[in-house]
Amino acid sequence: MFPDTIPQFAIVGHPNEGKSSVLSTLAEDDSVRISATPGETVVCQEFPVVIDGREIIRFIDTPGFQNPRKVLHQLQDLRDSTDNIIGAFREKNIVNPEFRGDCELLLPITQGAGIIYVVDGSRPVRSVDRAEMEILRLTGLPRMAIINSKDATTDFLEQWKEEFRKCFNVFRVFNAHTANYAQRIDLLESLKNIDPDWQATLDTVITAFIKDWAQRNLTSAGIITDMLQECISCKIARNARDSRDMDRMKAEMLAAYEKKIKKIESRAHHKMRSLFKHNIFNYDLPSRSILHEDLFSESTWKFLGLSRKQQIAAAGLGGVGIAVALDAATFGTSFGIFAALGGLAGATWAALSSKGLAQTKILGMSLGGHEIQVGPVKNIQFLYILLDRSLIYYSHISNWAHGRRDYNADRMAGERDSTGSGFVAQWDSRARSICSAFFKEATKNNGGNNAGVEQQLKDFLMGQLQKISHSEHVKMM
Amino acid sequence: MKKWHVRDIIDLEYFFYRDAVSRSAEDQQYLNERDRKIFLNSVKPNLQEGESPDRQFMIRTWLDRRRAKETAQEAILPGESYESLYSSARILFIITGLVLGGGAGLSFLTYTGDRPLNVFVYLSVFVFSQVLLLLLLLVLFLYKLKKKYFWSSSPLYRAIGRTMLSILLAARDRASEKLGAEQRNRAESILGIIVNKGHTYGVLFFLPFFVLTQLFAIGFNLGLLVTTLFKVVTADIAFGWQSTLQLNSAAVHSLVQKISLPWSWLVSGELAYPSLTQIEGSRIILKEGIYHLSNQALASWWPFLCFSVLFYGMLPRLFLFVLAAVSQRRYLARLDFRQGSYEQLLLRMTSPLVSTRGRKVDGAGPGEKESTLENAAKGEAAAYGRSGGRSILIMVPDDIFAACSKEQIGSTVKHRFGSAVAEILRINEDSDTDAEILANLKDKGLPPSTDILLVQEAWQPPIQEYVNFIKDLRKAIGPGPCIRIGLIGKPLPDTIFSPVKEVNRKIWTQKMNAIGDPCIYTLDLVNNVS
Repeated sequence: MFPDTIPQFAIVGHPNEGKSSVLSTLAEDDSVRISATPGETVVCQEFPVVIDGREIIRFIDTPGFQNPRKVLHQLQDLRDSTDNIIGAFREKNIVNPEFRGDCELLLPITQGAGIIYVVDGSRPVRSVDRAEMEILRLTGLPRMAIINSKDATTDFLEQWKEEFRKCFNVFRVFNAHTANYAQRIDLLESLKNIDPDWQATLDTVITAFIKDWAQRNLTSAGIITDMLQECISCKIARNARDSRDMDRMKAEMLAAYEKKIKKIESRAHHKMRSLFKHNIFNYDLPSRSILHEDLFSESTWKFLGLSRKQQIAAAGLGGVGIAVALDAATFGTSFGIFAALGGLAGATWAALSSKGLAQTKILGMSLGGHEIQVGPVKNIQFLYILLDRSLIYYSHISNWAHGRRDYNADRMAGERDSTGSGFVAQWDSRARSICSAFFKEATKNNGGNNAGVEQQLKDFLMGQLQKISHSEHVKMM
Repeated sequence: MKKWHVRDIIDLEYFFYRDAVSRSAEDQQYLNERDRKIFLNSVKPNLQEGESPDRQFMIRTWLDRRRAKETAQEAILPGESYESLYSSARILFIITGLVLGGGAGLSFLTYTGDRPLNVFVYLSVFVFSQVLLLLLLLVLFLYKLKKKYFWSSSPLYRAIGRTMLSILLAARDRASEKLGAEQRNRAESILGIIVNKGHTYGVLFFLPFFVLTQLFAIGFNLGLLVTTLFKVVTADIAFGWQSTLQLNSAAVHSLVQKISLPWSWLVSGELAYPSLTQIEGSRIILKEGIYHLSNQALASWWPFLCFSVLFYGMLPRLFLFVLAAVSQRRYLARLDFRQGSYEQLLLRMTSPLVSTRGRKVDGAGPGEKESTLENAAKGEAAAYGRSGGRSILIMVPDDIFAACSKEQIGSTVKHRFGSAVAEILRINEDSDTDAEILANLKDKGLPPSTDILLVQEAWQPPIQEYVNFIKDLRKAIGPGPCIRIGLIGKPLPDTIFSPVKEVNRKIWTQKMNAIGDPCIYTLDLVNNVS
């Protein structure tokens, strides 16, 4: 062991067991090369954990074992002649192309790195695996094993556990494709048990990780609150010169408004994505989720205030919308508050002949004067829709393991699952009153600047984000 | 049966390539059905009761059927394109040779009357140079005789090969850190396939180029001869000799006499080579001018020069041309079609189509038809196997040996290959026992007419240890017997013989291709479809 140096953890194992996936998830680095073809990693790669500019620990990705039985055979022969069998093996075989991969993977072990042995628990144990475990046992270094099941098969888990009991201090299940923040912290906690010397360092790392995550959530809450503020107070005004152009102008303004809102939302989501260190993964809110009724679908737009007359109508309808939504939530409908709201509002409008009303709106604008204004939004549902979208986005971005690369699967799952409920539907009246207060403040003519209300929403959102982070399984919509 | 031609081999390889492009379960099932139908419709009706289908006949029939289908769609097959291109190339090479030979002759045989043409220059340019090239060819050929494979035998090829390989390896080492595993595997697999085809067809694809070279040389010599004769007939050309070295006429005479040995028995006297007097009379001494030279002596050289071109240029090339054509024919006739792609094709043709799909009870549904097919096919695989007369030595890894009953593996082998099991060996127990098995095989050799089937779990990555074992196995048994890597999937509760995932099959196939041995190939031990 090398107590004066930075603790290192080498991720080792058979080829194609998901070593790089585990590391990518653990280090939140989606630049790690991962593929279904064995032999993707050919040289060791270091992943330092830097806290306040200082490297605290280091994870090392290694190539898979290529000749486990031959290596073991040689190591057993070397036992009589030297204590440093791994070093002696490398020295002997470093120029032998046959053992190139094996020498490379043993390099961090010669430097005293702790060992994290990764196996695919969905397959049976084979003699090559036993040879690898024996090699690791012979190193005498602190080690733990990780079962990273590639598919849902659990038939072989017991077999693996039995083998691990013979050679490892600690072992645990860690699925690199589904592991979230909480499971990552759990893994680091387990790592503490493999060597008491590293406990303090790992405690520092874990504390830093927890603080960093809390900071990310705080920042995310701020991003969402700012985005809400900006969207709610967003408005577009134009002068209408000719009443005959009203239809065209209305369509243009709606399109411009939609574009502006989407841009604000997308900017905020992008900030969250960067915060959670995703360079490749991006979650496209599914078209057929509970937000199937897009912000700017016809039924949504019916709530957006346009003129004095329409504002009155919209406000009235908004009240109906909330009442309906609360009813729906109380009865625990699986469609969620906004789906219910969207559907019912649509039905209400259909019943009231929405086309006629829409025409009235146009007339309203025409009669209302020369300046036409779209926004600010007068219905609180708009806030809930944006909030739900942001929370869904957050849950996907923050929980998407960096080692998972089947990005299309998420999209397809999203398209399949169109009936999932959102987060807002489960909120209680206290949460609603916080949102309501914020909305009221934000829609005030002067834009609203009650810092207390804003902070209240931020704190509330922070709690929600923490809850999502620790949820065991986040449903991918 | 029709003779094989290079165009047939090209078409076969083209069809194999097309079949290998996608190996999904659906495609595999399609190939199985298509090839089985060809066997049942076109091969089986030609067989007598109890007669074994002949390997070459089956492949020929399959090729004809595939060609017929392709040409019906007005597709131009590469074999046909090759044939027409090659015919044109032959004519082009002869004509080019003729023109260049004629042109070279004409430009050399320009006599202005102030100085005779130097016969040594003529001989050096047109005869000795050709003799040198022939000698080089002979050396290469003798070297080749000592080695098994053509591609690796030529020292030039080896030098180029070694340089290229070292460049490739250096590039690979540098690129391997940047290239993904899949691209790396693909590149290695392609390299392996190139080596593999070189081993499979050896000189077959070299000979056409060799023939073209000979045609060019024949054309060149013919052009040169015709021009020389034309100039001799139509112009007054004086040939003489000169040298700064103090050569006397007797030495030149002796040299000329030796050169003319091949034809001196055919023609006699001064026609075969100039006499000593003529040689003396045609010696050019610059300070003395040419006036003292004898006209008769100056004109005595041309038959000798023409014979030299004929016997040292033209005839050897004609001989090589005939030799290449005969070799090509013999080589094609000797092809045994035992390489991986052929084996897999024959397996598809002789394996019964088994279906367990349900059908309606009333009337004869498809299931009934399929079961008839299956009955009809019963025993054919075995018959084809017997025609090869080969049995199989099975190697089962230690990990699955216990779960792999003798009966089960025996029936699987019988069903898939129609071959009898010679022996079942347990491998991969540890390095020592593996080494022992290989040493035994090396010492005793495989029983005659035996191939190897190595059962391999395809979900296990092809690590170097496995690949090296297969390479060592080839070294131990020597070239000839096939090493089939019989892939199986993850074990099921009741059997280890489960279907293989496409991604795993691809990885193993690429890795085995990379070995570059035509008789080492993968196949599924269990049909992927039901």
